[in-house]
Amino acid sequence: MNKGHVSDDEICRIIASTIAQKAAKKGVSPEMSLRGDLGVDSLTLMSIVFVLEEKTGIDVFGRVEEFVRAESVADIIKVVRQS
Amino acid sequence: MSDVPKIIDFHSHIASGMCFPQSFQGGVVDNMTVALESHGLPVTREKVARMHAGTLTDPLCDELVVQMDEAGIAESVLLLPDFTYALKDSTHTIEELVEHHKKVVERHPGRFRVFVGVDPRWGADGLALFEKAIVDYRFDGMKLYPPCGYRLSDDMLYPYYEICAQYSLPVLSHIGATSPVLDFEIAQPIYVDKAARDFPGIDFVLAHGSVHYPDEVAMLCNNRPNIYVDVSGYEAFGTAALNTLFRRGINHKILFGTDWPVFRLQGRQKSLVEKLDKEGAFPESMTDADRDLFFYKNAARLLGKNKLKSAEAAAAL
Repeated sequence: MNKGHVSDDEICRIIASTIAQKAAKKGVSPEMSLRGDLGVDSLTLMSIVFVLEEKTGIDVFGRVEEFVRAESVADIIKVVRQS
Repeated sequence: MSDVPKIIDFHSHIASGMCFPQSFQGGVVDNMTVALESHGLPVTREKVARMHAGTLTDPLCDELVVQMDEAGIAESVLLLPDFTYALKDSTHTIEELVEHHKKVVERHPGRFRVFVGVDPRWGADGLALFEKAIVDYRFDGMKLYPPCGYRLSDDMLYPYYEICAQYSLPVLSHIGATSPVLDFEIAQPIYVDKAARDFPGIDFVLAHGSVHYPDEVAMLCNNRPNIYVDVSGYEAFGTAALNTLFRRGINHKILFGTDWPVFRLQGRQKSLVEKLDKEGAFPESMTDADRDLFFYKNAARLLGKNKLKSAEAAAAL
């Protein structure tokens, strides 16, 4: 996957593949909050970041602080876009 | 509870690598790495370490104050455990860390109090440093970390307890497991009992008591008038344990605490406060008065006993 061609839907799908099945069943969309809507905890957030790195080739570690501050799916999308 | 921000967070730390030696952080990272690898994720220890380090980026507590404001937290107690005796890769001395905490308190007037830790094995110099922090800097209590290698009723701690008793200051101690580079067995809550009996004028707070040794901690809170519990750690282990704790008849002993920045990846301080209601931490039988005790009144009562500060306030009138 080329990072220049990663769509929002693809990022949402990557996140959905990483979170708990119960939360993923409802689908993942940009306006959702990571913790409140998707039940993301510390390890899940790390998992999302590592899977995004693997599948999109982004430079995660130039953006660690942004990931730490991410509150919503849209925030994650924004960090990926900026990477 | 009214909308006026008045929550007191009784358990927080300065989010900076200077406060946590590399070996301590490394142990935490090892546990995270094992968990992530077991899920088949493409991780390396180095990457997990960098992600973890991303939570320790607020050395002056500017971001914490923003998040406290969002969450309705009026004051936070900054805990300064002394790892520098047990872990020799500390980047700063305990004297330097005390000075740094003073600087943060002065930077944000009225928002922070400090419980200072000095490892009792530092001897006379350590005791002098502790007394200076209490008397000259007006720090508000003592922080102990038994996994570094001492028990809460160890004779070495008694000179420190004498100072706390003299000024009516609380002592807060870590309880239970922690970074795997330290000792777990020594950090059992029962070891507070002799000290609590010998110093009835000191309030002892057992940190993480809703998740570590909850039955033993509740038994101590029920039966020793001067033993309390803070709930930090609920973020990781769910709120069911908290719900149980609130039904044990010790709501006058339970203190709110977040353990910032340990759970920073779980969300902002506001979401950690809101999580309590959303996830059913409070039993239906719990009164508003009990909630107020939990969120700030118990903390205010303990902090309000400080004789140095009350003498200062009286003199100012």
